[in-house]
Amino acid sequence: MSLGHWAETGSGAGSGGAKEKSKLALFIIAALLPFLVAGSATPREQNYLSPSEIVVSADGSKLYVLCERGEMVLVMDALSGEVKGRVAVGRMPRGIALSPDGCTLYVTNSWDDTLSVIDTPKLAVTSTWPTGFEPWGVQPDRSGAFIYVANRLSNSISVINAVSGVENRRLRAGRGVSFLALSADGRRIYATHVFPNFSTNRAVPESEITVIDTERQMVADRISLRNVAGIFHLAISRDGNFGVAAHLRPKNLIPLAHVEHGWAFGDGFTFFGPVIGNVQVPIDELERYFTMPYGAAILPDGSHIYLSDAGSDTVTVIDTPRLLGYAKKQKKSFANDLSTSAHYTTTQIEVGSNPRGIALSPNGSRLYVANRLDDSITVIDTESNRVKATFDLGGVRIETPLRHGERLFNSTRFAFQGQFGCANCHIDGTFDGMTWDLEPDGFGKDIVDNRNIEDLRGTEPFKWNGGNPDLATECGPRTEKFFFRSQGYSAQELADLVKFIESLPARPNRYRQPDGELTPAQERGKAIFFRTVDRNGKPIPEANQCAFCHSGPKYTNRTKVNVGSGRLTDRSPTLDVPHLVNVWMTAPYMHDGAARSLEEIWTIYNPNDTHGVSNDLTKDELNDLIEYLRTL
Amino acid sequence: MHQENALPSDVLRDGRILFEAGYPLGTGETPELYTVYPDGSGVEAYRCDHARFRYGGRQISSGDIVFSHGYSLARFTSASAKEVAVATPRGEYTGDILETADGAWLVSWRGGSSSVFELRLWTPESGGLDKLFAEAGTNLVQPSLVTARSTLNHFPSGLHEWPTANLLMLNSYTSKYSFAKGSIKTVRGYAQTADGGRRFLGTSPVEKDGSFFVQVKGDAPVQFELLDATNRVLQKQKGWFWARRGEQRVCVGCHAGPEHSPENAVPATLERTVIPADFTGTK
Repeated sequence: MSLGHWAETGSGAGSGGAKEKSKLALFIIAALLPFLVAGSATPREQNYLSPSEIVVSADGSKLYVLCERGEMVLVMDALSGEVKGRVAVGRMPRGIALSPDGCTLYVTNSWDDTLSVIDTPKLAVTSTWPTGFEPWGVQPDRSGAFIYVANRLSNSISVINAVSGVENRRLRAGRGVSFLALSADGRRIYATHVFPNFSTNRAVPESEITVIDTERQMVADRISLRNVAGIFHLAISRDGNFGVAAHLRPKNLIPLAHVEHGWAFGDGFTFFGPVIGNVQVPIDELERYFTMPYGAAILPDGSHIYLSDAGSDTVTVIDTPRLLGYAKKQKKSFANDLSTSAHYTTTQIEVGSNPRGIALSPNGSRLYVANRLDDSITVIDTESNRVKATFDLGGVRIETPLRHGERLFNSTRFAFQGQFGCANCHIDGTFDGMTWDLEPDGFGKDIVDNRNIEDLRGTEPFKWNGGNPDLATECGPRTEKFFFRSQGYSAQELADLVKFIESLPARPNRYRQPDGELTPAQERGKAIFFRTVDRNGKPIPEANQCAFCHSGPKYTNRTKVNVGSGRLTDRSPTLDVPHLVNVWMTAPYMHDGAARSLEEIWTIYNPNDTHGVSNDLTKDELNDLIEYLRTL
Repeated sequence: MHQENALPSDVLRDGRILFEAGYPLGTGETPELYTVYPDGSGVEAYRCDHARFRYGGRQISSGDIVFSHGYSLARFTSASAKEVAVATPRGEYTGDILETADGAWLVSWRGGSSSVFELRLWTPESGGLDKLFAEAGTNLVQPSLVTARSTLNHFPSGLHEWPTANLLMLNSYTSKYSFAKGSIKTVRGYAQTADGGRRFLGTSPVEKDGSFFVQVKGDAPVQFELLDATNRVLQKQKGWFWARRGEQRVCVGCHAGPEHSPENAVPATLERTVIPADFTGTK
């Protein structure tokens, strides 16, 4: 626990004498002075910088560090770590890339749905262009004429003219597409996505690496990644012979009865390309897990692969020739073999909290790691694979309860053998698009869809059976006993974690008009949502009207009801009424994730009008209803 | 399982208890290392390479388990499914192996049966055993370091209030034994009788994917055998399986080894029914 946290909560302890306490008090006052001067004893959360991505200038002299919470780009001296400049960007920036000539920096602003264009010599934003919903990764093509932007919530990639800012094309990609990488010859851009592609209920998660032909600006291939859900950064070797994509292998289809032996998640990467084909490589061991692999980089000579492990606060180093040798000898998949990583792992390097983006210096001698929840950059000497320096970005040094809670949320150290954490299933504080078989209910019973955790305050109780009255119950004893299977959070940790989860806001709704007015279709859908009689004028019982259960500010009356959607394998057909905030983005739907779309809720899973009256609605009317629900 | 033969030797950092018992479990005489959760659930061999005479396991600061193996020392490391030899002088090692603050191993050793046990220090650098303490005519065994120990994590038991245990097999074909594809058709269960014999409990179909789901009596030894379409026994379990009352246990395979993480697929047996076959012996 940090000094700042201790100071703010007044908990913790220490048995030091009055002199030590007095010194401590002076130190605390000094630490808090900037905030006291600013008129508040509580530091504002936005004072944290939260560096999440890095790019290095072509000559290796500068680092451009994208600060997610700071909503800015810091320019740093790559050798000394001195901050040379900063430029403000939009809300919740997520992706950063340099133009081929190094004169322009592109930053995606995920909550504004825009792309900031920054003149690097002047360090000034020169243009701001629209993108799809929630832009993340950004990658110029080799000529610099077009910029590719991964739109996470549009499941698409925008191809934007680098001069005019006009979107030239939009390409369909995997669900939650977020990361892009350009091949060395410039002919291909590869894209990965964080949610599994839409599929049938309880099917094996399927993902893809979308391969784009940059000359034709078309999708050239979709490399299938079976049983993978949650693919993060990818990197392509300079010789074009192979690529790596950091990934998770969830075990959502088997009962989560225990955690040992990689029972909840496998951490690793997809190793693909002409020299190897398509191989899933684990990085875990039998009793140690290197969790949430996120960033990826390959040395210029291709000899080593680097992955940042965002949950275990490590960087994993892979020896490529050893990996190639091992993988080529295997006659079958070794993705589930926890004893294989010793054949190709060089080492793991401890870094700061929640390491995300990583970048190599042009000659490959240095690896820079963005420690998102430490406001620092770790510099690793790739010759020795040791930490050479840690650059402090100058963010807030004390740890507020919210920051503490965020660190706990992203840490995997609480689960048995450190295998997984909250962020595994609630990717970036949301959901994972999958259903799970949780053991407390019995094997194969009460299969549950994983729900979005944004804007939860006022939606209690939790769990699909409404069994947990508050977040402290949800995240405390239940999580410890049936998820982590190991000692969970202390009372203080739990309080901070809950505070952080409660602080997660709903992201901007993309379907509401800026003026708050509804479109004609949305108005028609609203009328259906609030209707009290059916098409024939027959009154709809109050309890079967949409707006009865889905009422209040979050569209839930916080009760449990039986809408006829229960399965024979459910212990009870009575289910918690879910809130509908940003419901458009959280497919699949219903408690067991059976409905792949909003429409299927009524066209397939409501045959007897027990989940509202919908069978009298035409296709157009259902579309209108969906249009309205998208605004909630 | 002969519980009187289970000797705990350490509490691991992940909360499990490391113990020594005969292999195969419940029948064998060869000492082997096992783990169990503090509530008695999850009993399994630490590794499934089952070499000869492993005893006295202790966890050291690196997380490795070090132990005596015949007339030398060996270790288990997280990255490997098999034991790793430690270059130590041949002799008899007894009692716990302790790690000192500077990383040396403190052992009780003697060169032969005519000698007495002495306290020796081993380091990877020296490779040999440096004499620390010896007393003529006295066997010095079971040294103990006077040092602070960190508080171990508590274990949140997930046992249910049931007299029985549920056992789900994901894929019988995932095994150190070799089975022809599609050859396993049924599984039989047996309880252990008071005289050490076997009592038939029941038969359950094994699905095409190798999965089966049974309910057994808790806190009682049970044994399985896999059969083909002609009821020929393809493989009989060598030892005994043991689950606690209220335990829900899932196995990756039949003697798969802890290095095998489960394949992510809905077990066919759960597609058929979520009610386990009754192997409790009460009907």
